[in-house]
Amino acid sequence: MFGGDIWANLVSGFGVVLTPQHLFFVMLGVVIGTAIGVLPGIGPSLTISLLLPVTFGLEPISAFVMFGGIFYGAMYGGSTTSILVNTPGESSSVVTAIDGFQMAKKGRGGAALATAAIGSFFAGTFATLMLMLMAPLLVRFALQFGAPEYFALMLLALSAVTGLAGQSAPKAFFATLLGLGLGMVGIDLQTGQARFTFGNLNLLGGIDPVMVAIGLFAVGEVFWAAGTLKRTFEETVTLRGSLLMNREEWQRSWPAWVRGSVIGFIVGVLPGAGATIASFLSYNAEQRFAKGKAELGKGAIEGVAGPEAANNASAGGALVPLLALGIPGSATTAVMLVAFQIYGLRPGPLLFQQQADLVWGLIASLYIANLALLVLNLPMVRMWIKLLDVPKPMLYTGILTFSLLGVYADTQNTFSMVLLLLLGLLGFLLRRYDFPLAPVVLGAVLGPLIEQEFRRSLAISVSDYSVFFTRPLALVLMMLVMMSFLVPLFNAIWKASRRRASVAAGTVGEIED
Amino acid sequence: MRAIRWVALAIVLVGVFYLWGALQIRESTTYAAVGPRFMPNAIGIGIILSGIWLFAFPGASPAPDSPLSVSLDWLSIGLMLGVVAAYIAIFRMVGYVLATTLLLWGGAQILGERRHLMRDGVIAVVLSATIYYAFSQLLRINLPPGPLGF
Repeated sequence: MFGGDIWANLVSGFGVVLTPQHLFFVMLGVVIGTAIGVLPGIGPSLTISLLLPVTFGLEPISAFVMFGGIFYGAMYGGSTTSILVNTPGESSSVVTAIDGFQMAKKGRGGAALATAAIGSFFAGTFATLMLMLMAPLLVRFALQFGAPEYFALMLLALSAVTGLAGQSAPKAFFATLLGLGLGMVGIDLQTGQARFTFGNLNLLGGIDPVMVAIGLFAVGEVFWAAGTLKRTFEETVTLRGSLLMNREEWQRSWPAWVRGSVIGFIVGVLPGAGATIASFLSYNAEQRFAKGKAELGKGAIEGVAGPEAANNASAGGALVPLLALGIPGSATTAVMLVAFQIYGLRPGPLLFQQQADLVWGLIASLYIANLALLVLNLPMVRMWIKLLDVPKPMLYTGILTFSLLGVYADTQNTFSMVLLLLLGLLGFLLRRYDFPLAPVVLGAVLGPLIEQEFRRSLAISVSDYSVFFTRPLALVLMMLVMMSFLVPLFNAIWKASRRRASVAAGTVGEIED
Repeated sequence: MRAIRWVALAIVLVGVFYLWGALQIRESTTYAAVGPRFMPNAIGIGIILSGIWLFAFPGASPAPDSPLSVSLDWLSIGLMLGVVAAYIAIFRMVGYVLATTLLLWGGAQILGERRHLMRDGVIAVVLSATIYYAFSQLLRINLPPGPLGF
């Protein structure tokens, strides 16, 4: 795998994708992804989960190019509602709402939408390019990995998610364990023993992580809407003015796109961080470096350009560990891993060698998806806004209907719908008490895999646990795992002791958390 | 005591329950170094620890204006739960289209502030019939037909 190979592979990848059928699925993915991004409450992981049963009949490559389009489309679509309704469609567009909505109020909503679209295109293309250059290098490295290294890597992915998700380390820790715990249900593949089935035959096959994602995200969201919909109020701004950016807006946008793209890609590659953190970090960077930083918070275009570039770039970055190592770092890539498994494919170094057509076709389709985003979305923005006119009660009930349909179509039994309902209630409770949901999905996907690598490692070493610490690479990874656990722990203890100290000193004031 | 501390105690109970569940797994007698109980035990202990951790460090209370502090509309949540449970119960009996029409229509009435009985009814019928046709005819995925054949 040398430099020249990459371009040859890319050309053959385009050869695979540039057929009417595959192009259709890329476009379909982009359109669905954007629509989903515009609608509140449904994100890319959920969309892919719900579409899985529908895609069973397709060739794998058609399904995956569509998922690629959905991934990028959803990242972009979230910006529209952030800017015009001040309601982010996704958590990764929360920061966009700060300045985007102010711009819309001033009549520059069109320019905000334009900088989001062009920035997303720029960032997505940059991230796909980096993915293409980095993934083969990583693959070459990963070919030397054995079971202990994979075990350590997955543990690192989980601990990074635990350390980074949300505000509270114990809540994230619990969410991860809950996911791992759900992943244990069913027949143990190595010994054939049933685990946590409580005599129910329907549980022998385990709890599908896709069902976990649908239950927590979609059904949980519907119950949440039932509890809050009549008590919240939204302010909508109609789109005024031209969709074009003026000269000054261009000049202020492009440095923010570049900063956002680089930040987003790096954050995306790291496990656990993801689009939301990427967009926040990008906003921080704009607060420091943007020309119009004084205006940030009151409608500065950099506050839209940077974060929107960052969340799209992170989508591309997140595909690097998924494709090269087979290790997802977010809920969306975790669901994509399940999709690969459904087709009997295992992402990772071997996929690059055995399914080169599929991998390079997917990469080529990501370039096309980005272009499609730009071409389709700006002219269609007025249509996307129309989507917001769908009455909320019907929208949420519709989400519920599709969720139930999705699991029934997959399993053909009503027990799965009961399970989905229970997972939905669980998602609602987790949401109510501000627990992060993504680690649960990631844990449910990684649980069985991590256990398998753990046992395999010990089988190789004949039950010698030192195998995780005597191989240099595994040792480094294990040290990183320990660091990611200890840092938040010390942080919490330090904060608590400071709090006690300040209370003792009689300064009962605001303590930042 | 703050609500989150009760949640933390509930988590400890979940962990205990999980460990009890792990105890029911038959440990195999094969050569394998790590049996089917190892991971579940570790997870159960971890869950208990996370509950204790959360009890000790519950974090700051949510801001009064955050959505987490909104008092919830428990009636709507309960009704929604009831409608879904009823849907699952009658799903096979009455067939996909009829059951789903009721779910869509009923759910929209529960969630909405104003009633649009007719409009929602029309949407519900059209949407469930479309789904049924698309799945059973185009995708060839079986959905329960019910006594009326749809």
